[in-house]
Amino acid sequence: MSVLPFPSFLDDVKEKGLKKAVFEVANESVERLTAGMNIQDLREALRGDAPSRRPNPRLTPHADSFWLHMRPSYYNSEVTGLYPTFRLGWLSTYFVFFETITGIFLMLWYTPSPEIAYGNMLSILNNVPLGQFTRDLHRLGAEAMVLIVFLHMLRTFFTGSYKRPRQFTWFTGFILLVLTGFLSFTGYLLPWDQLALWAVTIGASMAEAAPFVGEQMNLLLRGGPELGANGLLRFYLLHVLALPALLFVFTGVHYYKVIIHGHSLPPRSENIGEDSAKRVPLDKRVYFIPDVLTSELMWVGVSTFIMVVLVIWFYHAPLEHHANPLDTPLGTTAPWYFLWLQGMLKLGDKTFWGVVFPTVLLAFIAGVPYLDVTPSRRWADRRFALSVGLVMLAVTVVLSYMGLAKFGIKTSADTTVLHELTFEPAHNHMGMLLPVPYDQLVVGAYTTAEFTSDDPDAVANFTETITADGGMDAIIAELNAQHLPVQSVRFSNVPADAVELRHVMQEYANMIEEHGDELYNGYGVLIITQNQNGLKRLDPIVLWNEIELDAGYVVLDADGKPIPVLDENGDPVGRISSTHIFINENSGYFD
Amino acid sequence: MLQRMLIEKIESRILVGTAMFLGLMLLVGWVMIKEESRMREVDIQHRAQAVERGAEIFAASCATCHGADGLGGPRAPALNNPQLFGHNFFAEVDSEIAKIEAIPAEVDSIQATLNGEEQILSTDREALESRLAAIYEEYGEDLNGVDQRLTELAAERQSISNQIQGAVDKGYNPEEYDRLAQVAWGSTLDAFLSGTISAGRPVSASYWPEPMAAWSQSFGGQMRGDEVANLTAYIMNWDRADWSVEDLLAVNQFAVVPVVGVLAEAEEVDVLSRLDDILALTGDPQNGQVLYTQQACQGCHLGGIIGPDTVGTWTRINDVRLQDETLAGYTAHQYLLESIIDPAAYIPEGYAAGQMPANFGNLSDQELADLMAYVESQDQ
Repeated sequence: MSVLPFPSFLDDVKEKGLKKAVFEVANESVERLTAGMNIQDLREALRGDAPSRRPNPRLTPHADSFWLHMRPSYYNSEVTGLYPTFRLGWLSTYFVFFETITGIFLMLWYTPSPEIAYGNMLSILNNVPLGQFTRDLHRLGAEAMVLIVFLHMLRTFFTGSYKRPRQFTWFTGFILLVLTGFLSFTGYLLPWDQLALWAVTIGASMAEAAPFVGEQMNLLLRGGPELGANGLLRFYLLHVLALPALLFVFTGVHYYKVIIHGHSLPPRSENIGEDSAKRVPLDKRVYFIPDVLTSELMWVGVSTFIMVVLVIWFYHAPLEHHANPLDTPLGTTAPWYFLWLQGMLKLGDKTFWGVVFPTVLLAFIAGVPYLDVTPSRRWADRRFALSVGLVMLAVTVVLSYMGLAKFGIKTSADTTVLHELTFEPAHNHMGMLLPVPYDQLVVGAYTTAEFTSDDPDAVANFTETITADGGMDAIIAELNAQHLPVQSVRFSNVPADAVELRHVMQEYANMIEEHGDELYNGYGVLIITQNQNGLKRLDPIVLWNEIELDAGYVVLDADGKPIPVLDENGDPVGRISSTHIFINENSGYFD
Repeated sequence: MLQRMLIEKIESRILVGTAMFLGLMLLVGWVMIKEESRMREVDIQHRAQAVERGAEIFAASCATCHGADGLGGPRAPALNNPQLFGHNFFAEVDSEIAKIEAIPAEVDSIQATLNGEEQILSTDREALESRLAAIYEEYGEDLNGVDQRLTELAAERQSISNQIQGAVDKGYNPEEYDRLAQVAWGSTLDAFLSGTISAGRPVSASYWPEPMAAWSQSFGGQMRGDEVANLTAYIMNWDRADWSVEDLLAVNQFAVVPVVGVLAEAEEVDVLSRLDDILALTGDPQNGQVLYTQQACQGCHLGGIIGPDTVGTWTRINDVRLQDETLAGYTAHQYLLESIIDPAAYIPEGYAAGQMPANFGNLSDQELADLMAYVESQDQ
């Protein structure tokens, strides 16, 4: 007779006692949650014991549960080690989830509008607890993911794992690589700072080079002739919606294909056409539960731990100043993973090198398994394919180097020197003057002449010289033109206790000497003025004599000397160039 | 070696994994603990960098009129200016004066309470008595000390007044020490500045050589929202807790109280002397009509709704207005000119005062002659 008018748990308690009844309920719940493994099974699995029940309860979750239905119930022991997979495929998947989770948190604080996006970034940094932390994780994860996915492809190539029957797996993997690149690229724009705007402008302008459709594609992508509100919204929607959706679909297809054909074994263990990957001999089976599962959970912990350690101590996502379509920063480049493309554009015709060639190249990579149909995966039989792969890798590295701003683009020496002194912080680098402690920025006028000679009267001599040759007037005129109204400038030695400032002035002098050919008879001055309480203005000015230049490069005479340009009186022509920055005592560049 | 699991024993894997997750929790917790101070620090840095950016914009776009040091000039008022930040140089001495002035009344009130009929608690009585004793001790039983102190304070006030005389000569009004109160601004200084920068102030054309332009892109200017914010941060950075008299004296140019024409206190307009000059010229009624349209006269005078009708004005002046006793001795031209450049002088029956702007005196003599010639043609 039931305790209640219907059968219930209380009947069990009455019949078996409380302890046993509760245990049975718990056991049953665990078995349902794990889709087949009860408490005893779990304990055995985690202890590393053999399963005590038949049929093996560790296989049931693979058959009955959603989460494990695609995971193989056992692996070949030849693929569970570091080689041949290097865990790269697993890591790629890990980063898909890692980026999704951190990205969702960032989405909470972000609005895709040029009016507020940058303000959102600032507030993520200074008003959202763990905001900077999450952003750093997301950014670092994105860069790592591009690298990992690329390495995964390299590994697949070098082990020949793309060969029959895994051709289509390679193809979907190639799509995932492209999607990863685009995801990273679209995310690049979202902070709406100078770095974002210009890297993406350069990247997107490559689309413009496409014949016939280039202009339309560019318009579609940017939402207008310039990147603006429409472009930002498009990039945002691509980044959070369209591309992730495609990525998830293709991740599913890719993994399904991996499982269908079995993880590819090391080349020596698997011959083309043999189904050895799917038929794992009993003595080589490594079961998913518990071995692979514990290993994966451990790697989740280890990877996340490494990421967290990196963002706490070693990496902070850059945030430059607000995007300004009117001001192109010196040395702008595309994101590093597109540098090869930028390097290629420097080779010549924009349409050929920017569109046709990369398309052919990508099509070639996508089609590798259909082109290379040789029947062996062993290195000895793949000399040609491996050579092609290595050459392409080397070319990519060289092209990426050529994509750097310093390659092939001649910046005038004065611009370079002034830029080195004052450029705004990006990627933990900044102009030399910025990290000088505020109290060492002693108001006054200083010259590099003090640092190029041992003469104690160097500054006095310098003043005398430039007063005579008109340099002083030029400096004052330049300052006035730059809205710093001064009538006179009195040069002095840099105070001895301003160690950092002395150091920067020394570097300043060195840089001018280094560019001595172009900055002929050149010297630099630095004027520091107090602008407001706690705010100083720094005006570095470079003066030199004009010399003959050809396409930005110095023309040398027979003796290897630059040729000064002379005016109608036969005097050298003086040139001057300046910039200025403001430094607030609380800006914290010098931490 | 490469082909084995990196950590081969399952218990080691569980141990490492657990240690990693615990480590993660510790690290994130540690980050969380430091988060408050980190955010504060970043906030300070961002504000500081906003000032730097604002300084660049100010030097490039604002310094020309407002002065490189923000002290103003003949084209625009000072921003590095105690008045903008509402500093009252008399605050201390005035509050002291108010305190001292209240003492005789306080003594009366204490005595009334002590000698009154109402019962008071003994502790209250003691407190009042000791307060009274303290006052007597400081200012004497006859309170002579109060007057003496007030004389001292008045001298002190006068001395401050003398010190700032230089600024008063340049247009500073010590009674209106707060710019925001002066213009009856109901919000913060920050909002006042960014609002003025963003939208400009077209009306300032009437008292500066050029009006303050609208700078924000939302108002047709060139600055983005963040640039306006940075510029505002830079101007706000001129504020200091200890404004000195020297700061005030350094100001080259104080702000003007913005006034709309009709509300301005009418200056003495010398109609007659101007009339002679104007009548010496020949007015062109054609050009007068153009001016009539340009100055939007018909907006009010069309159909006689807000001001008297354009049609038939000249007839009405002669037949109706000049019959009014208050206008005895006026000629028709004198009346017409006065009505244009000093409209408040006479309001015809049936119309409200203060409707017509008082700034048509800005027109040149020739323009006024043209305009009058046009009105004269309205004699139907």
